[in-house]
Amino acid sequence: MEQGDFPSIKTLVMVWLVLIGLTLGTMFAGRVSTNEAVGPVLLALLFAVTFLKTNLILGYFLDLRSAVGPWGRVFNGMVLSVLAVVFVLYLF
Amino acid sequence: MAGPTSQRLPNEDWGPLAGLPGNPIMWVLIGSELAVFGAAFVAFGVARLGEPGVFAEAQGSLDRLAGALNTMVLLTSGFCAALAVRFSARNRPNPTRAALVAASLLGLVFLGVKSLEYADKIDAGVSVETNTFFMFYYLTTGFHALHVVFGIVLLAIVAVRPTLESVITVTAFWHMVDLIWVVLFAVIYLVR
Repeated sequence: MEQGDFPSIKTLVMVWLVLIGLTLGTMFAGRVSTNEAVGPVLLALLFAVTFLKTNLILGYFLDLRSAVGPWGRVFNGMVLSVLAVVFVLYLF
Repeated sequence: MAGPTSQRLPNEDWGPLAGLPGNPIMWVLIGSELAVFGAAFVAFGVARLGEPGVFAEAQGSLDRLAGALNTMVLLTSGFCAALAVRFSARNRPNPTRAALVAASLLGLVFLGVKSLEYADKIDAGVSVETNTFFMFYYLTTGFHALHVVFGIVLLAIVAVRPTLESVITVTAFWHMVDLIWVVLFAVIYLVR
């Protein structure tokens, strides 16, 4: 297999820091220190942040940003579909 | 400007999969694992509709901080795995090994935290048969933990004599494990 340019170490450090920051965001949105309900707004935020995290893992750690063709949309679409269905189920 | 068709494909001989980076077979595996875990998460959401009170009470007994800690551990492990690819591409075997070993050790930390969570639940008499929530909890987290064990073994094997292709392939598996946990943590531990 041909190997292209991988993300630089500086980029990887930035992505890792953002992922840790977003995890703190999910802890806030998911109200980790209480058993109270999350509510629809925080629920939407929780799913949005989770999708952002998976998007970064696919794009930078798995290097899907360098894919040629529709593959980025395919894999991100798979994750988004699952999150969207679970989100809708939790609105009931 | 060159169009997409004139771009050099990462895997020329792989037909429709030629545009994928790394080993296309790993992407087939990643797609199938996403489908399997995705189906489990949707089934979890559907099951909750029938027993919202049971799910809320059972989820409330989970250690969400331990789940969050494990998320950061696994993300950091994934970062080390990504560094290993970068070092390997620069033909630096020792830093590659170090990054792979660091990723493996963090995988062991993840399993340690997970074991404490399981021990706490088992001590409290909570099993896979306690209720529907815990059936999903044990099945999804247990199946994921088995992937972590397998990934640690793969990372350790490749660390002995790393080549760029082997490093890319096993770290892709590791990132998939990371990716699934990120969704699992949100759906099983946090969403309510």
